[in-house]
Amino acid sequence: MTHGLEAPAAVDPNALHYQEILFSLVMSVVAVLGRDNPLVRSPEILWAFAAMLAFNLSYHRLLRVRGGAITPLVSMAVNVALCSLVLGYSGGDQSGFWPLYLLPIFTACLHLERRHVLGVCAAAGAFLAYFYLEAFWNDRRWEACEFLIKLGVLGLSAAVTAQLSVKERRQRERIEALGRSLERRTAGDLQAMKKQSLDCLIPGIVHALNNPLGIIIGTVDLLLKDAPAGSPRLQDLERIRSAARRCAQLGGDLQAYAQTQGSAR
Amino acid sequence: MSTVLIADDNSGVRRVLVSMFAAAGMQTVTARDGAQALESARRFLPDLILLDVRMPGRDGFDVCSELRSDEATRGIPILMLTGQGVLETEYAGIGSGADGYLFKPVNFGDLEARVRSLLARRAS
Repeated sequence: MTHGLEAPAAVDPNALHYQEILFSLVMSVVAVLGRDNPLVRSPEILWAFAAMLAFNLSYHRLLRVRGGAITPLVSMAVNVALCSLVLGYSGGDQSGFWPLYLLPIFTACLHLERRHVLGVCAAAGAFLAYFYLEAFWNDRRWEACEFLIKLGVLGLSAAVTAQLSVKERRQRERIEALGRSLERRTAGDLQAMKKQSLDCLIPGIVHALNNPLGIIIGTVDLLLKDAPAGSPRLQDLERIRSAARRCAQLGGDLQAYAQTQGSAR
Repeated sequence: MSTVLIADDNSGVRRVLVSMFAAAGMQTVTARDGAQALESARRFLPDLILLDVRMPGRDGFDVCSELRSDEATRGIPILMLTGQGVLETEYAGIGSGADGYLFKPVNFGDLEARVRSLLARRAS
């Protein structure tokens, strides 16, 4: 029933499975209320639900640690076993509690990968089949059909839930990937814009610097022209002119660099 | 004595250029923007025009093109002054009809040599 499933994407094995706790709690109340039903063995069924509740609570509180003692898959298997216990205490193949198997199946669909979902479904089917062994053995066809219908309902529910879960997970992943890509692109664009602004700014700065440098160099040129030969100021003036020319050269280099970057883009 | 029109929006640069031309034995007329440069060129008909590229209002290229399209100023040699040492400036200057260009900061020796060369060419 689950062949149509696509492999779910990344799964968080540590995601909280609150539905198991809530479901166990509700079913414990149901078991208390239905304790007078002749098919139900009370208080055993109550202990079974209490065990389910205790296990799920302790699993979430104590056992579910990253890479801890019990993996989510084992948790589902324990839940399947506890559901079977409930079925055993409430009439076996006659029990109306068989949809309880949907609890670990749905949880697996929501949080585990396809092969694990198939494993949980197989375990639920095997436990359910156990209650119909006698019917199979004695060739009671109607009861065998009943088993197949129940198995079909469980499988179909698993397939639909897993399909929806996969779709939702993929959408979430796409959105996350889109967000990451947008973040990267925005950072890249910002970097490019900064660079572009700098490339536009450089020619302006160099142009603004060239005017005062021109005044310095021109004035020094005139002073040098008028200075008498051998004047002690000649060397000072030469030094000023040389420094100003170095500044102008630096500006020219910067401008050439900005031009090269502009052409490269 | 040759007359040179100096058009530059920076007063400091104008003053230095005036001193340089005075030292070279030339008289000068100054303009602080494109419009004033056009007006002075038509009024004084100088022997050479030194035109800054970046000026408020009409830039050096624009002024140069207009001077070239005017019968009275067409023959005046024009030397463009630019602070942008990039090839695009050179192409644009030549495209607008300039006879040459000088990069800022201007060196007195270069300026005098270029100006004298252009004046001699015009005289011949």
